[in-house]
Amino acid sequence: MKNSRMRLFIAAALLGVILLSNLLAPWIAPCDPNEANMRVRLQGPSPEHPLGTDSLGRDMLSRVLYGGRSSMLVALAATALSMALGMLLGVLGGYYGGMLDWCITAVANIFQGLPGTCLMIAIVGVLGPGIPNLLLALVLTSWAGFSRIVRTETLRIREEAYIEGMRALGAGNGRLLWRHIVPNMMANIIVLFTTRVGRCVLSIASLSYLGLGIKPPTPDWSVMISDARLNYRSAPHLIIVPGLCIFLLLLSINMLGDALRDLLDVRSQEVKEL
Amino acid sequence: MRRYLIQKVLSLLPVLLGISLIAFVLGVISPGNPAELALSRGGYEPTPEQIEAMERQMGLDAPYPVQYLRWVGRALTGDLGTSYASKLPVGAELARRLPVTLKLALCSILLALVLGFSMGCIAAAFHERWPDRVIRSAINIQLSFPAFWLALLLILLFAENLRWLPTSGNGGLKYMILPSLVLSSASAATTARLIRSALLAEFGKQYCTAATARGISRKRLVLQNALPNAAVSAVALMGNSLGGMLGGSVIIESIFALPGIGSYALDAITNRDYPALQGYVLLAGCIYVAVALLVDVVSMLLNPKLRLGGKRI
Amino acid sequence: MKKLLSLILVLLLALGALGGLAIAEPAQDPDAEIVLAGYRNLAPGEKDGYYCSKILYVWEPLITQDDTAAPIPCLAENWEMSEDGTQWTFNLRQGVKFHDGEDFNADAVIANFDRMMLGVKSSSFYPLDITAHYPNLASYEKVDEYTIRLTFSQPAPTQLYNMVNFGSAIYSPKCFDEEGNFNGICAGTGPFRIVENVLDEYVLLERFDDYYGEPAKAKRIRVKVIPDADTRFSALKAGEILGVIDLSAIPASLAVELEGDENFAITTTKSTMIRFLTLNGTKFPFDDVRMRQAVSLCLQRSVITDDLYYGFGTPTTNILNYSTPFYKEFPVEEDLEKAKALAAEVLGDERVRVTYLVNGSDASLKVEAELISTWLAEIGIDCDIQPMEYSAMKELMKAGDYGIARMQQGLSNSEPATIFRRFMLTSGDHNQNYSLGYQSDEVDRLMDEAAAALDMEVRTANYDRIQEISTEEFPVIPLFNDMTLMAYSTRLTGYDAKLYGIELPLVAWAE
Repeated sequence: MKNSRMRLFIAAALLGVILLSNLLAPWIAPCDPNEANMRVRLQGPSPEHPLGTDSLGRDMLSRVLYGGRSSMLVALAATALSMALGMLLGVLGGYYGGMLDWCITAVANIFQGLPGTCLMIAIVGVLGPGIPNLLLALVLTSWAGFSRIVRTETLRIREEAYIEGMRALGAGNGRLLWRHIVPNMMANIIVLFTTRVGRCVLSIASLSYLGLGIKPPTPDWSVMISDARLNYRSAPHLIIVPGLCIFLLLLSINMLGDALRDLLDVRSQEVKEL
Repeated sequence: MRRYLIQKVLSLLPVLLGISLIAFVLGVISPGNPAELALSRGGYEPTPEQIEAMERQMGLDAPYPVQYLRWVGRALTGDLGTSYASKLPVGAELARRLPVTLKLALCSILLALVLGFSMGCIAAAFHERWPDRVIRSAINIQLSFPAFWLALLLILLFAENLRWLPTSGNGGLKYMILPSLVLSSASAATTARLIRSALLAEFGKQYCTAATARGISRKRLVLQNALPNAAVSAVALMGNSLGGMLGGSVIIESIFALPGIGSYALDAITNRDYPALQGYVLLAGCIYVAVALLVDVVSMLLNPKLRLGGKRI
Repeated sequence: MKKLLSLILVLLLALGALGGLAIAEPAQDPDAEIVLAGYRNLAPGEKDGYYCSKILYVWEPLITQDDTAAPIPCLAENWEMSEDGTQWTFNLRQGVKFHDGEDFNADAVIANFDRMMLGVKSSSFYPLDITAHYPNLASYEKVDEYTIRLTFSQPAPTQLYNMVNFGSAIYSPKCFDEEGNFNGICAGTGPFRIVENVLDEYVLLERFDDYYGEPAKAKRIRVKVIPDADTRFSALKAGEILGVIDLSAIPASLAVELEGDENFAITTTKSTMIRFLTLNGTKFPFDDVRMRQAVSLCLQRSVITDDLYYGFGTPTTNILNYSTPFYKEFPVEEDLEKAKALAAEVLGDERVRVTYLVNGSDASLKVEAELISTWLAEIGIDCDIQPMEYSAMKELMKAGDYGIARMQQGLSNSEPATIFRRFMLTSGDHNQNYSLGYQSDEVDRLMDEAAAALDMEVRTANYDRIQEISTEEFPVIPLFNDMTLMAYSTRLTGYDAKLYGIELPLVAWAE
């Protein structure tokens, strides 16, 4: 338990630093991330440019500070949206059962049966890169996972004695759902949310690397790596710094998810195995 | 058992339907006039009359449901249309490239199983001691590595500087080592985590404690009882991983210059070659479904409860 | 448990050793296979109008070009133009055999003309289009076993330039079907024949032993397809391939990494490629010539060529590439203040947002676009950079759904009229397909005059004036003339960049 708390603290601190530095980028970045200066291109670390400059002479530190904003924002938004959708459908289906449940389960099964990454690439590929399309592709491919787990949990909690008791006391469906059933599965949801945000960040990074995600000239870690492929042998910091950023962001999210799983009262077998 | 199988196959039908619908819709929402796209490549200028004739020939004047049914009908006979870019039949093109992707996926799954099992076993055997901690950190690290970054770093190290392995291309087993190492990295980590927790759960069970009390060595226990039980869930996990691998192969194949269906999909996207992309989605979906079925069958064979007609013992 | 661990370790080590062994240096057998790589299929195969690129030396044209892009004999030994310039007679080389054993003679050439008459064949190189290579062709005929004659409806004094390389490719009549499509591996007359072609993996060439001229030095050459520039570079460094060929063989930034490495060498020459921006002239704001001038004036072309491309390129504002003998040099003007003033006349106080399309398969283009967009921002143009595939770009451009696009144009032959016609005539295919919206009565008149003129001097004068107009009215915004840049391992000799590719038959193992 103590160990888990420690890990939670470390992960949260790491994540906090990354989030905060990106949030405060407009104030703490030393330069404009898009300002090119060909005279100082491809320089290594120096007092003026602590992380060096890229192939257009842009300050790497500033670009790195700005570079996680879009993908983190999209990852959070996409996960929140798919969670909202998945929870709504999962709770409704699990609680009311019947025809509604059957329909939702059937559609969710179809989406679960599809190879998510392939579909995501295809959707963004057809609709073109850009944030709205990215969101659509992410939500479409991940809501079903939420909905299925939420449904199973709803089914389990619904059968518990105290819910039966509340119902006997005349509690309305709405009240039962939002005041008792949903709060009861929050531990699962939080862990699920954390892991899914991580997965989303990874998906966005891959898509951006392929040129299908965040569009230039918006600074983005994956795009920086893909742009640096012609220069990284003589200027390795160009791929190491942004790569480390993505890595640390994912690591902190994964560690956080792990620690939360150990600390919170997670009952769903599926969430435990994530 | 037969009933269980039939039930499984039936439950997969809606998924196949969904896949075909999505693939079809992708073609419908794609920008541009398919008839014009099919005609105009390589600097050739079709006339409006030619475009109209092509529209009729491609059946684009029919309502969407009719088009969908025709499209599915053709797809069932293996006709996935003609690629805009290469003017070759998409089906033949995918068939030509599929073996490369399958080879890559197979190598990756094997690697994921070998690495995952060994890491999981070691971690469980040394529970809460240093090997366990090292492996648990390794799992988190593996899960946090973006595949494209790992690929670049591995090529730089093992191919370009040490010259141990080829940098890219299709060929024998040694060409598959780097790409499958990258592709299997995440799956290996999840497998390891699963095996570890499954083994730990088994160790906690009564029969284990009892056996240990009777002096049966832990090693034998692991090999005889705990591991086979854990393997059942690992098989199911591999089925899921395959979806990730099919998607991940898009990046890996393009970095390692492997002419498989993943790089075909990427080419199709940059070429706006929608029939090719539709074909890819359909094929990838079907492979995924087929593997899901296979996984179910294998788990059933491994799991005696299911084998005996689903009755709980 | 420990056993398992050690087993895995041993396995991994064994795999590593296996990899190490397999790439051990081969003994220097002069007939050993030479492996090269390019970014695309150099032999796209049956569906391609040419089957494979000229640079594989599989097929040969009637007429080829020397280093100054002047026409020189290949399968046609010599030729003669009639007094009025409407008839050309070509004497064919004798004793030439196709790879399939057929004889090369007038009948074979006529069969190739018949094939071209069947209609335009698309190709990943240049469209096989008889109206482009033989404008105003009225008829073609066999005079005797080794002579053919072309008759034109108008004087065609520069016809030779039209026929260079892709303009007069000749194949064995046996290798195409009734529709003019190839029915298998193509059979040309070149020093190499294709023995195996695996699309997207490699094409295997073998020395053609019955070649009429100097035989190729290498016995077998395998040309691999490695689409990614970075992966191609890794393969070169790791010794898996010994050289890179074709267009964009190696980006300048990677080529400079090889400088000072004695195992590798770089070969460069003038390229027939010109790099430029096309602006959508059918829409605001680029329908205004002042805006196009403003864009050209605000560009720091020498920064692009010297810093981004390490000096491998020459700034230009002329639409014509510097490798043709007709090229005229113009000073490159750069003046940000003048650019701002011109842009302000068009835009007023507003800013415009435009889509800037680049070919996504070339990472350096995206970087270049980001650089250019910082300059454009200063004259009031904000860019959305959109990397996509070349042919997809062309579709958007044709529909007029773009603002700026980064394009390139090679010379299929060295007759400048081809370029002027495509970009500057109202009916020109690029003018229309790229939505350039360019129209100039003067250019139309000059082109007609030149076409009718038998006198080369009149032609040259008109061509000079057209080039001048192109630097004033900017149908497109030329950026720089490119250099062909290739890298190879010093284990090879004879690897010299030529105007179009390398001379593959001269490539051999070094002693």
